[in-house]
Order: sequence, then C-alpha cells, then structure tokens
Amino acid sequence: MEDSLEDLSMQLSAAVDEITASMLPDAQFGGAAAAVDNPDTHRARIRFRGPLAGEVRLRCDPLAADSIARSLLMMGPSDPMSAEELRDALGEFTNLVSGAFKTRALDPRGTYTLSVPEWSPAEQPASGALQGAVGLAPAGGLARIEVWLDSAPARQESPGA
Amino acid sequence: MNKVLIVDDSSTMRKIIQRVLRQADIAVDNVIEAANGVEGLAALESNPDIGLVLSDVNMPEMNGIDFVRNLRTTRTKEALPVIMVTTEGGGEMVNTAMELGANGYVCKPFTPESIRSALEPFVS
Ligand SMILES: [Mg+2]
Repeated sequence: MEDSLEDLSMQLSAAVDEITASMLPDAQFGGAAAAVDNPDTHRARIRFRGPLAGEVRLRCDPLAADSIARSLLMMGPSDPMSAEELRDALGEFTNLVSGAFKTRALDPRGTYTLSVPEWSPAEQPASGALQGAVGLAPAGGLARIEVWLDSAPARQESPGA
Repeated sequence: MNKVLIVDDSSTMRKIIQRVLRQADIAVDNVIEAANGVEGLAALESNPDIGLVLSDVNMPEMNGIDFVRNLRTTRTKEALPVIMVTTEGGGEMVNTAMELGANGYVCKPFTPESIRSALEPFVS
C-alpha cells in the first residue's frame, strides 16, 4: 500500500454521507465525532479482510440507535420495535456503510471480503489503530462510526498462505 | 409476478426490499423470505412456483454465491431469474455470481428506480 492511509478517514466519511443521504435523510452530522461509550451503548461491527485487515465499528447511544433503526425500518416513533429488530437494523446500517466504504476505499487496493455483522454488548479490545471516525447526531442522540486497521496488517494473500 | 423469494440475512433489508418493490410499482402477490442460501434452497423446493429471486451476497451459513451455484444445478437462467442485491457493487463477488448464472444485480443502497430497471426485463 503505497498510498496514504489518510484516505481511509475521508472515504469513511464519504461512505457515511452516501448511506445517510439515501437511508437516513433526517440524520444530522455532529460537529465532532464525540466519544460514545456507556454501559447502554449499542455496538456493531463488520470485519474486512484483504491486503489490509480491520473493521468498521458503529457505536450509538440508545436515542441514536432507536432513531437509526426506525428510519431504516420506516417506523413511526410509537410503533412497537423489538430488541431483535433494533439489533438487526443497526447491523444492516453498519453493513451498508461498510459496503460503501469497501467500494470506495478497499476495492481499488485489492480483493477484500466483508464479514456479516457482529454485535457485542461490551467494547471490543482495541487491538488495532483507529484510522478515522465520523459522528452522527440523529434525533438528538449520538452515534460514532469508526474504521480500524489491525495492528499487524495481513500480508498480501498468496496461495497456500 | 406472483411469487418472489427474497434471500437476505438482515430482516431489516428484507423489509426495505419489499417496501421498495411497492414504491417501484412492481406488483407481487406473494413474498417468501429466507435468511441465507440454505433457507433459500429449501424455500425453492417447497415453492416450485417462485418466479423471481432477489438474493444478498454476504450471508452466514450459505452465501449468495453458493446459493446461485446450487440453484443453477436444477433451474436455468431462463426458468428462474436471480437478481443479486448487494453492497458490493462491481466487486469480485458480484462478478463471480454473474459468471455462475445470476441474471443481474442491483447495489445497496438502491432506489425504486434502480430496482425497477434491474427487474424490468423479468417482471410482466
Ligand atoms: Mg448480508
């Protein structure tokens, strides 16, 4: 990878823009990517693997989680939404952002695969390096989307490796 | 189109696809949902009258690539159109799906217009 990894941050931002414009037209960008880390924080992530390996992470507070999920599901504020629907919607939002990020930032660098969404009740251990973060403020809540690279990036895959 | 199969591991995306089919004025009498390729193959077996399949690529258990590979052993492209619905526009996975016998693909996020133009050749 000769080109700058700074791109990853800009491309994450562009990917988030693309998905929120089409799927969450009412969400507002926060000025800064504020930290979102509380016991009630919702977390989802998608792993990517190729010449670089890492993950796209979503963290959001309950208000932002509810707002993002209702927007995707086109539910009104008082429509009943199960915990499973909420979880699935946040996973799919992360998946959409990751897909847009892959198309912009990863595909030009090689062949990459994405994982299916994973959810974790607690913060993942920070095993890599944060490359960029985007803040969103849907419906007064706070969400943060980050891209991480593993600390030991995978070498170019070769047959049998 | 009387029966459509939607294969996607996200229940949210299955709902979004159904909503966009309505917005695109694509009349569907009956939608069958499956969460992965294994469920998709089972749905095709118990519903031989399914006339169109919309399938995600990235799914657990059996992904969209293996799903297309499997269903093409019994159903031709002419007999059963399969449209891939994927976040990976132009990626290697989509090319592989097309080589294995998918009839077309549409990228997420999609619009009623992009869905309509992808499905137009296959819906009456
Ligand atoms: Mg999927």
